[in-house]
Amino acid sequence: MLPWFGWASLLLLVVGTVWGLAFAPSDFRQGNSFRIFYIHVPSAILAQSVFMMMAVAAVVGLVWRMKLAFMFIRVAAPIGASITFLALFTGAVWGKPTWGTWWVWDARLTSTLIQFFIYLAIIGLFEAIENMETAARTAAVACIVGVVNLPIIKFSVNWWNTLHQPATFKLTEPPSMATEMWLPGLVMLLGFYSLFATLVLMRMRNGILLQERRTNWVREYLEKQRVL
Amino acid sequence: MLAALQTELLLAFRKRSELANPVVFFIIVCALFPLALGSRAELLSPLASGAIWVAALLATLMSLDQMFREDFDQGVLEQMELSAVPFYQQVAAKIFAHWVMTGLPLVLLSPLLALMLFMPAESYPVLLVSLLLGTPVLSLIGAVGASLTVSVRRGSVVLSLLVVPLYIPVLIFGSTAPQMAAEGILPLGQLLWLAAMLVLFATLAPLAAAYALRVNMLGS
Amino acid sequence: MADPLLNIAGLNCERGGDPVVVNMSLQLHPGEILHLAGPNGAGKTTLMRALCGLLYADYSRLEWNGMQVSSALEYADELLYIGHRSSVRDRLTVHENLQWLASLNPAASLELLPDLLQQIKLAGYEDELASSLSAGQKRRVALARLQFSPALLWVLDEPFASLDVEGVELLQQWITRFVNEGGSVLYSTHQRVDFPGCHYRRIDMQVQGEAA
Repeated sequence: MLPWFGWASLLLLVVGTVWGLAFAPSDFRQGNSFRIFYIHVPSAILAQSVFMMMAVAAVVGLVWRMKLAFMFIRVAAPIGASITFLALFTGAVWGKPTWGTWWVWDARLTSTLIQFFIYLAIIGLFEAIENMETAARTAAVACIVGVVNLPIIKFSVNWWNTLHQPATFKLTEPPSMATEMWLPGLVMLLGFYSLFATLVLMRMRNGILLQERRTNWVREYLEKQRVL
Repeated sequence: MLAALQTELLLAFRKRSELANPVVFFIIVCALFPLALGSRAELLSPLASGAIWVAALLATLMSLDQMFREDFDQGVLEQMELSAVPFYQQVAAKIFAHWVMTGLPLVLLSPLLALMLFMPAESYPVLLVSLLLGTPVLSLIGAVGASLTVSVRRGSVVLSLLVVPLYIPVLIFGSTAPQMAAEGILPLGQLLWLAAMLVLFATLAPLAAAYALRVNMLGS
Repeated sequence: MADPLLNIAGLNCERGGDPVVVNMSLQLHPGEILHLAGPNGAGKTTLMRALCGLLYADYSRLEWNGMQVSSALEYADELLYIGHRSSVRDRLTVHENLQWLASLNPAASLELLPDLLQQIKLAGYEDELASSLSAGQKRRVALARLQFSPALLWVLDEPFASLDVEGVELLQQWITRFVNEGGSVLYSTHQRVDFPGCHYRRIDMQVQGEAA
């Protein structure tokens, strides 16, 4: 399963990048700077959905005591954090030519930044707590608390934003986008998802091997792979 | 439950020198704003409620690390867990005691600081109500964070990372309500939101904190 | 013989990722004293905490009073655990500490408090803060709750540590009386303490992995 996702992500990302950067028509208002869309939007979407996946895994882990679910949170959190950072970074780079500024206290940017902090906190819990089981469960609780609060944060930031800032900048997508423009985006999105799946599976394999390092099957497996 | 509350309040009162720290901190932070921003009344008065809320948030944040630490280290929490009184109720008693010793003094002091920051007179009642509804939420959310990090030595960075994002709605609703009152609008919506969050977290936070404390106990 | 009070089989626990207790079985009957012996690191504390539900553990069977239970927490309020840590609150006085400890169980009664303070040699210290007590005095305060608790099982981790000769004798008397009234005691110690005339059993625990 792992190589499939690996190859799929490589293929999709290459196709998407080339298509998006070289062949898709440039936006008539923004010119070529618009092309960062092909990295920004997939990463932003993924940043959110990884968080939701982590929360689901947290519930699964806490309710059905599945160790694999905790392992998922452990390995997905750093990836989610990097993707969120990528989304923020590309957003800033995109914002500079489009809005003339690196950063605005826009509702969506602000809540993404907050989400980035929550990711960091979850990673921090894993790093700081020595007992693996405790670390996993506390991080799971943090995930659930984070998800319960996320809509409130979103709403409050949105509301705060409309209060403080007259709508000079609207980050709404162009309502009608040509097919040849969003298709590479879709390819990129799928590519990002399979890249995520690849990374998660790879990291989970390492995690499981580490966790079960005392059992016999791990020893046999590693001997077969000639690591030992 | 009542006995636990009594004990916790008594303990909080005995620890008052430690718990005075956040209050002093609160006053100092509020005093720094005019020094950094300039002392003109027309400049400070629109910022007053924001400054007071940021100071209250930071002061609460500072006090969180100690909320469960000592009892955790001394084995008090495990005795609570083993006892016949439901653990979450005892945790709730601790949270309430924490609020009485940190949140409540901040609420009571806030009019004085509002005066020093030239807050418009119309905002005073709203500021008080917003702090009265909001500071318990800070204690409740903070308790979840503190219990998650209770076994982490020097866990304050992780604790802040965890808690600050969750504090943002409280900060937004709390600080904008007095500003709206200054413009002559009754910020009923914000105050209701704060009240709703208070109800939500008053029910959920003790359960979540009790669970997190138990998880930390099991791993120690 | 009647049903065992506590019947556990196939118990496994870890400490810091290392297996400490492996596939252990244990039965404890009413009126029985069980002494856990063994070198440091043999898992005595781990085992006790696991039996009280204060540690992750898996087991194939766990029965309390003849009833199958899914977690140790189901009988937690019928046992009394006193561990290494004093669980005495420094900022409360001796009297307030005892009150607090009693409040943990609604069935506990504080009627005999003056007499109890005499017994633990802390009469006159009622209103001292616990932080001003010595280690041995604190331990007496923690142990005092044995006398007002209605628990069926005492789990005592190194209860004789930092007690003086009189304190050890007092605790010996308490344990003997409790067991004669049908209670069960599980304790660990490195000291030589005898319980003449009691149903006494000793389990020697080994450090895991050393044998291999």
